[in-house]
Amino acid sequence: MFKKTLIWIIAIVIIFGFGFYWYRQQQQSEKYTGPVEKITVAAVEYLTGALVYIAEDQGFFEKNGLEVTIKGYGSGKAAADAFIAGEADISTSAGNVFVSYSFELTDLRIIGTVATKQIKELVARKDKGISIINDLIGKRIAVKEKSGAEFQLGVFLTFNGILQEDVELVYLKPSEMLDAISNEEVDAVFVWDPYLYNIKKELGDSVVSWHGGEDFYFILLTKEDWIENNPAAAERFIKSLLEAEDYIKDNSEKAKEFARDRFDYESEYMDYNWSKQEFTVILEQAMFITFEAQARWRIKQGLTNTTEVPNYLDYIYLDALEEVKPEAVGIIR
Amino acid sequence: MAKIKKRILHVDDELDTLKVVKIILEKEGFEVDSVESGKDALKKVDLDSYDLIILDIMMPDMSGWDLFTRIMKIKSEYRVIFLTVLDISDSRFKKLKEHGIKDYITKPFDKDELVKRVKKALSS
Amino acid sequence: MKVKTRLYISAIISIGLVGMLVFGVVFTSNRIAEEIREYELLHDIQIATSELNLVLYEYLMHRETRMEQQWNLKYDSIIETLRESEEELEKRREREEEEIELLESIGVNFITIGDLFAQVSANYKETQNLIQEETSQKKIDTAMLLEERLVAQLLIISQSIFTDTCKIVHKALDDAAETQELARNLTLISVLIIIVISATTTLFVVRSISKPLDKLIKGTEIIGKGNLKHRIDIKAKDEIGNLAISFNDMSRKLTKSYSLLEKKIEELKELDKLKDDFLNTTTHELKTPLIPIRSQTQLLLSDDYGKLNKEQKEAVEMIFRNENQMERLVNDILDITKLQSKKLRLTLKKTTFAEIVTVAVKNVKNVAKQKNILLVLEPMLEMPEISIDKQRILQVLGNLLSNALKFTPEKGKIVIGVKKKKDDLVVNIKDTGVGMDKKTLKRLFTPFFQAESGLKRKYAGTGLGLSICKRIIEAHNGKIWAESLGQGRGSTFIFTLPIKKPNKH
Repeated sequence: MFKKTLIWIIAIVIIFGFGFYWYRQQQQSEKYTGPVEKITVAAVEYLTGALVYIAEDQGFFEKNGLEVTIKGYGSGKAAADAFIAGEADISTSAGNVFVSYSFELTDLRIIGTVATKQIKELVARKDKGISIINDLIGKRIAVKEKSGAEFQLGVFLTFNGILQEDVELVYLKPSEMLDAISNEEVDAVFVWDPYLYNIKKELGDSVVSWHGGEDFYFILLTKEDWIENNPAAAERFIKSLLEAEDYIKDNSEKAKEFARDRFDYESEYMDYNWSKQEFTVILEQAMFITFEAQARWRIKQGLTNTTEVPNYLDYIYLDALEEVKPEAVGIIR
Repeated sequence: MAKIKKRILHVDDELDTLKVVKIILEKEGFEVDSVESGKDALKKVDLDSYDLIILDIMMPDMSGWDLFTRIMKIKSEYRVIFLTVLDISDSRFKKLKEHGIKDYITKPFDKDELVKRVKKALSS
Repeated sequence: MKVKTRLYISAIISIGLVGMLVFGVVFTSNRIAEEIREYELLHDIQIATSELNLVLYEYLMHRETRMEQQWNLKYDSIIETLRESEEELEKRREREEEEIELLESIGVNFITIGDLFAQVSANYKETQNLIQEETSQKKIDTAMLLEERLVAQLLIISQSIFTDTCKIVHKALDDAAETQELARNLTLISVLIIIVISATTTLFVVRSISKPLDKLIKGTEIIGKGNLKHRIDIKAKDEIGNLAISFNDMSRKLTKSYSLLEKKIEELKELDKLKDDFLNTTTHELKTPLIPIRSQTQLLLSDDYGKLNKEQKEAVEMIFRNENQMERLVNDILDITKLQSKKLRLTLKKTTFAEIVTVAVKNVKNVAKQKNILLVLEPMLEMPEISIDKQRILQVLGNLLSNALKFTPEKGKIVIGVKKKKDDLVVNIKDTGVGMDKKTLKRLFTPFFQAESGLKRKYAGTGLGLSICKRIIEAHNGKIWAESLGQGRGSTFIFTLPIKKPNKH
C-alpha cells in the first residue's frame, strides 16, 4: 500500500518537474535564434548614454541577436556628426542637435530616446550683486552657443520677465565655465551636470542657483534608408534598450555602480546625480512641441535659411518601438 | 438386679431386613421394636422410650431424611443412626453429624459390625 | 430503490448543480467580457477624442502641416473605431439602445467636424494667400471673421463630442456594474439553490441509508446478545432491506435450532434422571435381598441358631461365599454404571500423594503378610501436592495392589514406586507374579474380562476392577496401562496423573 503511494508521489513530482522545466524553457525561449545582425552605434561616453552601455554589459544585444559596436564620443554633437558622416548606423544625441540638422537633412529618423531628463540651472556669483533673478539684468551669463541650453536660457529669462537684450550672453564650452566663473570672467553660467555639480561644489556658498528646466530628449537617430533596410534590427535594438531600462529599474544600485565605473565618476557625484536621471525609451507628442519650438527659435535666430518649421511627424519612425512596447509611443496617430 | 435393657427402634419398609436386625440385636440383649413406615414411627410409638433409633433412608411413604428431620424437631437429643443401601459422601455425612446423626451403616452389613456400631452409638 | 441507485442519483444531482453553477458563471463571465470589450472600445474613442482635441489646439496655435497631418490621421482612426463599436453594439440592440443612440449622435458630430476642419484649413490657407497678395483689408477681415466662426463651431462640436464620449463610457460602466450585480445575485441564488437541493438530497439519501443501517446494527447487536426472538424491522426493498430479511431468516433458523437443541437437552436430562432413578432403584432392589441372606448366613455360621454339623456348615459357607461374590458384583456393576453414566463426580482435593500411597499399602499389609509377600514401598522424594479424588485414587491403588497380591505366589515381591516425570506423577506397581501374555495385556482393562475364564477360576473376582480403575484414572486425565515380560515373569501396572488440575466432569 505504501509502495503504491510512493510511486504515485514520484510520478507526480516528475511530471511537475518536467512541466516546470518546460515552462521555464518557454520563458527563456525569447532568446533570438535567427542570424546575427551588426549595428554600429555612435554613443556619448557619459552618464546620459548609460542605456546603451548597460545593454551591452548585460548581454541584451547578444541575447537579441545583435553584434553592436559602440563608438564613444564626448558630446552628442560629435556623435551625431560621426553618424551623419556615415561612421555609424545609429547615434545618440540631444534633441537640439537633431533639430539643428533637421532643416537640411530630411532623411533623419528618430526611433526612440535614451534619456528624457536633464536638469539645467543658472548659477550666479553672489558677489556680483546677484541675489534674485532680476539681478541678472546687465550681467554676463555663460552658455553653450546654439545649444539646447541657449534655447532653454531664453525660456528661463522670458518666464522671469527678462528680455534677451537685457543680458550679455557669453558663448563658452561647458568645460570652460568653471574657470570662467571662478576667474570672474563671467557673472553667471547656465549649464548642466557634471559641469553644474563641479561649479557648485567648487564655489559653494559664494554662488546662488536657480532651476532652469529639465525637459530634454536624448534621442536615437538613424537614417531613412537604414531603417527601411533593417526594420528587424532596429526593433531588436530598441528591445535591448528597453531591457536595459527595466534592468536599471530593478537593479538601481548595481546599474549605478556600473555607470560610476564605466564613466569614471566619483561616488559622491553618482550619489548626487543618479536619481536625477530618467533613462526611458519613448516617443511622445510633446517632442513635437519641443522640437518645433527649437526650430522656430533657430529660424528666428537666423541659424538656418529655412523659413518653415519642418514637419517632424515625418521624422519619427514609430514602428520599432510600437512593436516592442506600444504603450511607450505617445504620439497621436 | 435385672439390667434395664436398652430399647432400640428400627424403621424400615423391608420386613426381612427388620426381622434379621431384630434377631441379631435381641441376641445381644437389646429390646428392638420394628416399625414399617415413618408415619407409624411418628404416630404409633413413644419415641422417648427408646435409647436409639435406626432409620432406613429409602422408604416409599416418607424418606429417612424427612423422618430424621421431624424426629430432631421433636427432640434434638435423640440418638439416630442410618442403616441404608445408599452411599453417603463424606461431606454429606459430616453435615448430618452436625445435625445429630451418630453414624450410618451400609447394607448389606456384617452381623458383628452392626453390633459394634450400635453399641458405640449407645455409649456416646 | 436500491442504495446504489440512490447514491448515483444524488451524485448526478450534485454534479448537475455544480454544472448549473459553472454554466451560470460562464454565462455571466461572457456577458462581462462583452461589456468590457464594449467599454474598451468606447474608452478608446474617448481617449482618441481628447488626443484629437490636443492636436487641434496645437494646430490652432501654429497652423502647421504636422498638426494637420496628425489631426487627419487621428480622425480616420476614430471613424474606424466608431464603426467597430457600432457593429459591436448592434449585436445587442435591445440592451444597448441608449448607447447606440449616443454613438449615432457622436458619429454625426464627427462627420461635421471633419468637414469643419477641412474648411478651417482651406480658409486659413486662403487667408494667408490674401495677406501675401496684399488684398484689401476688408477681404482679409471677412476671411478672418469666417475663420473665427468656423473655429468656434469646430471647438464647440469637438467639446460636445467629448462630453458624449464621457456619457457613453459611463453608460458602459453602468452596464458592466449591472451585469456584475446580476452575476452576484445569480451566484447567490444559485448557491442558495445548490445548498438547499444538495442538503435536502443528501439528507434524504443519508437518512434513507443510515436509519435502516442503524436499525440493522442495533438489531444484529440484540440478536448477537442472545435475544433470538428479535426481528429487524426494515421495510425497504433495497440492499439493506434484503440484509435485514437475511438476518431475520437466520435468527429464525437459529431459534428453531436452539429450541430443537433445548428439546434434546430436556430429553437427555430426562434420560439422565431416568438413569439416576434406575440406578437408585436398582441399588436398592439388588442390595435389599442380600441383607437377609448375609445376616441369616452369618447368624447360622455363628451358631446363633444352634451348632451346625460339618455338612451344614459347609453348605452355609458356600451360601455365604456366593453372597459375598454377589455383593462384590453388585457393587462393581453399580460402580461402573455410575462411572459410565458420568455421574461420577470427582471430589478434587490437594493432597500429598505419599500419604495416600502409604495408606493403600497399609490396608493390604495383612493380606501380604498372610501370603508372605514382600511389600516394598520405594522412597518418595519431592512429591508435589496434587489435586485428586482421594477416595477414588485409594480405590485404584487398593484394586491394583489386591490384584498384585492375588496374582503373586507366596514369597513373592511387590514394589511400589512413585516418581515425578515432567508434568505427571507416575506410579508403578511391579510384582513377581504370574505375568501376562500379549493377548491378555490387550484386553486387560475391558469390563468383565478375567485373566482366566470358565469354571476353573482360581482367582476370584468380578472382572470389573480394572475397568473401574481405568475410568477413574481417565477421569483425572491420566493414563493407565500394564506391562509384562510374559507368562510367569511378573507384571507392572503403571498409571500417570497430571500434576495440573484435571478437568472436572
